[in-house]
Amino acid sequence: MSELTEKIKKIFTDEKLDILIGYEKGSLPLRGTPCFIESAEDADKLIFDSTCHNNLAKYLTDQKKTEVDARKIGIVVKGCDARAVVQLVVEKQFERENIVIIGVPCKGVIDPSKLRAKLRDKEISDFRFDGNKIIVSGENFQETFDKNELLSDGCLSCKYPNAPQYDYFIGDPAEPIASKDEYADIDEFEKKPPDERWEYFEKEYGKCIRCYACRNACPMCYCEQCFVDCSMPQWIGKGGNLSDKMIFHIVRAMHLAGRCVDCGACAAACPLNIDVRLLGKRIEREVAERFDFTAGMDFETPPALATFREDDKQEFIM
Amino acid sequence: MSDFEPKIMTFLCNWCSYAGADLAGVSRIQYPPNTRVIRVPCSGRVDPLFILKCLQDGYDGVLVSGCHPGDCHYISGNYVARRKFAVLKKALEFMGMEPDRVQFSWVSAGEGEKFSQVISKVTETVKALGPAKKLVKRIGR
Amino acid sequence: MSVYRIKKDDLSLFLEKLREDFAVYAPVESDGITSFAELEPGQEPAFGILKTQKPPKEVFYPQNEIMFRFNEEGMTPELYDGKPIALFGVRPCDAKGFNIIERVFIDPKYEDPYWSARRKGSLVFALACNEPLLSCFCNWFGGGPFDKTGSDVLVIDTGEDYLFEPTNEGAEKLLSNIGGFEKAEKADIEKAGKLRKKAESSMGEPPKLDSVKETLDNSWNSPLWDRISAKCLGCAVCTFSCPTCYCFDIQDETRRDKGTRVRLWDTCQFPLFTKEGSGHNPRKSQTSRLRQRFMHKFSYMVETLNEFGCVGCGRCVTLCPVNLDVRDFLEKIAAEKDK
Repeated sequence: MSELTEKIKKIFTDEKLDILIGYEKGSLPLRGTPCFIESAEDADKLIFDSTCHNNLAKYLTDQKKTEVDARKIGIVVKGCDARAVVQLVVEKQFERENIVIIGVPCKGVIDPSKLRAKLRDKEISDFRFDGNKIIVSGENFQETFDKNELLSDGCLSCKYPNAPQYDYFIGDPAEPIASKDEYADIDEFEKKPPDERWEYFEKEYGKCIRCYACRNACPMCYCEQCFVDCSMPQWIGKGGNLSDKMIFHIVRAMHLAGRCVDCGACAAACPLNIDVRLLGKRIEREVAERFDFTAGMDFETPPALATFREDDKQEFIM
Repeated sequence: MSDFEPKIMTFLCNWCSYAGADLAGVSRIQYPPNTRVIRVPCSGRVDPLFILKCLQDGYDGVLVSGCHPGDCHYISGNYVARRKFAVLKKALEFMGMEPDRVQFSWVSAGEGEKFSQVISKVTETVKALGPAKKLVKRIGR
Repeated sequence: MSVYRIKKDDLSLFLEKLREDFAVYAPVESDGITSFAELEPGQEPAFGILKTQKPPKEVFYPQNEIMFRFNEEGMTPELYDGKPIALFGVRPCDAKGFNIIERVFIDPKYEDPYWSARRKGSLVFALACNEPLLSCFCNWFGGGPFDKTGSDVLVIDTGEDYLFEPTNEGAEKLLSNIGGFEKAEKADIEKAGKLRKKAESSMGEPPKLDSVKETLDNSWNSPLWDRISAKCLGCAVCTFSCPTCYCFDIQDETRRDKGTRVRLWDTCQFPLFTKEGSGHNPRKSQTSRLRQRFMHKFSYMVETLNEFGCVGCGRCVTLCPVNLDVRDFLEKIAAEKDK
């Protein structure tokens, strides 16, 4: 029995949890998958490692919608997941005392869409971690990847690998990866001429098949009805028009302004590897630099776009 | 392009800019006829989606005008709107949209003269940019 | 039906000749996405890909298809009128999927003109899978890595050569018209047989699914559904990537005095799919929506088409953001029976 399962069993009993949301081994190599534990004995199947890329905070708002009772829910969180939980509490999506936050140290998670793009149909039957390397092998091949090649983009510049707020913390806090400057991609992208930038977004968002996996994987997207699902009035068309796809992605990014925790769930969920992170990251930067705000760090600070200061900069106003 | 007449959508706050437009009208102050007005209860009512929707429907520019800071009829609507628009403007600029197509201003009910100046300036800027191409929805691809 | 042989190096010549009369679609990778697209002159298909991210069903049944254009004067119908379509390098699972979807779009009483316009006169060259993947389970539903259902020609990669095994006379005639083939020798056929055996045995024994329909029909209110759907995000990845999902929506895209009517993929996983005009939604929870997907594939389609609505391509398994594996579900259902 690992330290994780042992401690979680104790927490489950001590806290009288009704349900615990954690990770178990998935059905494919290098894929952890969310699981719901309903009794302490069940906890044996829990795991936590770099294959656990999903942001479980997503399920807290889901639970809220299907259950009217005040069940006590435990949740295993990485740094980014914890920030999402905190942000959801700030946004009054559920009561703080009904949630038991169990932090685990995160060394970065593997983005399945990156794995897919790298390996295509070569199938992994085995893998192991070797320091900063991931060695994957299959029937007729073995490949060694630098861990950074497969980690989610957000992980590479992650400053908060451990939950900033928690009730329990299992293991020793992880060191931030920070192998890359947080805004390097953005600086690089901004050097391009505007038309080229627009073309890039048209190309990326043009691939969108409107499956809404990015939206649905995002813990901060919890609206009862999304604007894309409104039919009276129908805000945007569904017929695959490029302009509609663009608007979906811009508005999605805007709705996450000052709320996004850069967990990478959207990018990992996209079946077509669309770059859904770039715009969100630029918005996150604007919020950080203009309003000095980082989402999900504490339970008191209101979301950046739901508050104001009288002396906010207004250089853009005519 | 000199004969290009842009279409500009303006969202005017009921309590100030809309009254400012009225004042410009009753004072017979001249300004370009390129704007279409939608009256909103507050600049804070304007969702970024409205602005994008206008650009999608072929407007060449969008102006949102509200009360001066501190004058909001609802105390803080324009302050919150200011944050929202600051981010939207940066996001669109980052994506490669001409930033001058989306403009924001504060015009009070007493500023008929300023209203006409704002409209003239927006019209001029958008005219110089030419017809909008980005984000415009083309039916039937 | 005979089996024909062509050197691998000569395949591009064959495809060039095929292009004279057909619009040839094959797996390609572009912009980081693998899908079926029409080959440009001289373009080589990406045969290394087993599962394209986008399913080949979109060649016959595009995600968004303009049905007609309209303006104040009237309407102009729009139907595919290009060359007949040849799909080269479809995998046997996807080829079988065409047959299943076809029975929805073409039945004795009704024929869907949009599907037919692309599908009629088409040719499907299925490429046998020498090395099925971990996420493949075509053998669960009577298919297999060398299965010929739904294909006009089964193509087998034997190393240096491709073997072409036509399944109907039309296809055989076409091959002989194009030419460049030799008759396969006994050794070739033996080699193909070995490859087939190896591929089939690598997939393991499929579970018994005979009782699945009956168990499902008796499990409408089972707590199992809550457990299975707990991690489902309710996105459309599984249904959009599925070779046998065919549900669509029809929308008008209008602007002032003109517009188009578009047929587009829809999915039972979205709340809007069943939302009624009154605002009432009979499938309000994700549990009920996921139940619909599984019931449709493993019960209703068995009833209406007499076969499972799943070909075991495994796209939903690999692409699902939360790794919700349909095989786990089927195994759980099969186990329910034993209880």
